[in-house]
Amino acid sequence: MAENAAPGSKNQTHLLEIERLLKGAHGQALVATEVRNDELFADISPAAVPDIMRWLRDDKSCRFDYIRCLCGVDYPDHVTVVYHLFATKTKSKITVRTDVSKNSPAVSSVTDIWAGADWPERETAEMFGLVFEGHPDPRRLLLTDDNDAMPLRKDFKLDYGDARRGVSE
Amino acid sequence: MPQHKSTPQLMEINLGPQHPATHGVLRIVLTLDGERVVKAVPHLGYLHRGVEKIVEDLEYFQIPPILDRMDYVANLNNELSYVMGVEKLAGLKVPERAEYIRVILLEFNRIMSHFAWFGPFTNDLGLFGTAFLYGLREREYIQRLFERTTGARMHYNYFTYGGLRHDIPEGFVEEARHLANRLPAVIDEFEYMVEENEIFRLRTIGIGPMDGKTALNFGASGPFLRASGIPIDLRKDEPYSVYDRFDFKVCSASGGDCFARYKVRMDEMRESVKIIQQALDQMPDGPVRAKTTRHLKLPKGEVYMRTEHARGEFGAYIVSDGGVRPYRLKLRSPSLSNLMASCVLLPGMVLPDLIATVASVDIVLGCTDR
Repeated sequence: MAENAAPGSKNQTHLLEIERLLKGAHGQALVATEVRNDELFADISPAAVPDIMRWLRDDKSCRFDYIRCLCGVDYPDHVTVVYHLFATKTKSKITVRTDVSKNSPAVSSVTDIWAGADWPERETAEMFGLVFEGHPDPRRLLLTDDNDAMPLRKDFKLDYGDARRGVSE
Repeated sequence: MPQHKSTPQLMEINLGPQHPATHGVLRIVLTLDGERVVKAVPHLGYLHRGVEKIVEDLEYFQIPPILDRMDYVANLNNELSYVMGVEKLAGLKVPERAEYIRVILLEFNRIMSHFAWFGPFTNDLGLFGTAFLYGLREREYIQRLFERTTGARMHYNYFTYGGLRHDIPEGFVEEARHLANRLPAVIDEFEYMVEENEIFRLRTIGIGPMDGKTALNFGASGPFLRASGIPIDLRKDEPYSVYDRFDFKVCSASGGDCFARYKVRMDEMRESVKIIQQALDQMPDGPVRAKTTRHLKLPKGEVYMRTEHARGEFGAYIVSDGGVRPYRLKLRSPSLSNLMASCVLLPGMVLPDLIATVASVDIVLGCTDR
């Protein structure tokens, strides 16, 4: 229904402008960018997370001052950390994704940029076995302290016991 | 008499997880110096059921009942984000009538949720009994309408991608209109009951204030953020469903304290009533469900869908690999962010103010823990 997503709309022009600025400032750390409907997607290398995130918050044309959602997605050889950011003034949205290798599952924490990343980072860390470097309080959030499982990784299978007997796969 | 050098005697106590004032199973380990809170460390996870893992084994049509069990006070609001996300990825168009019925029920659900907050909140402040029962009584009237419409009192499972599971029952419009017309007087009564009450004023005004900038930085949303003077409401800022067709205003307050949070919710309910009345007037006839298949396959892709939940921004991030089950479904809980923000307020408070502050945030632990 109500989607301000028309090509050439004010919102999309603004996002294309941010995309251009982002390429200019951090071109070498960008893997890919795309403007789709009313949203900007940027894939970045994990090493560039602190710089790009700080830039996205502080640059005067971006001002992404609100972190909506931070989560991980597990893939066979890497975990993608996804940040959904929002600019409260311009109502722009950006999705930043970074692929963290499972061999060295570490990425910089963004808690010093948005305090709202605190608990979501703790949750993502325990669920995917990641380390958010520089996190002020890297305890577990939802799991018990002695639980070393990484439940949201795909190799963690749920054991239903008899509960799903007869359910076709 | 011998002079004793006074050294602070710190005591560590558990607030919760089985404590009526923590609204569920929140546990806060408090370090107290007398009545004064020196340190407050929240522990979550007592209601963690692994919702995000369970849904990876379910087909898209099987997921809404699980979402009902997250925020069990405003269930329909939970269902909406997910259902709209699926619709967006699948390119489904929802019939007009279904959109209107959704809006009516969502706003009723918001009012119900605020009533269910108002009652226990006054209880936590020491106004035992009366206001609590008033809040739950009024919620009950709306709940009956929901029971007649969806067949369930709590876990409705009524929204589905493409629309609703079935049409509204006969007499729904009249009953809804009757309820909506009645509600402003009820809200007035609530305000009359507590606002001039000395205990209520002393225990809310100036207690637990949070400024807008901090709240925003912590990712707070909903009434909690709006009480800090930031008028962000997704129904207005990024209109979804048919919310752009209604005339209502975004309620905010400047105090950022417990009283402001109370006031914003009260004002917001009046706006919800306005939306319901307009939606009832404009509601067209027609089907309530688009033609879809049961075993829906979503195209490869991802979508982050956000809606204005009774407690703030509820997000559903769906990643599809082209199959009949979501590859990943992340649920962004407004209670979690709001609780996280409120926890920085706690050190330095006296213990009763801590209870008031945590209660004023309106958390549902089923939603924070998932």
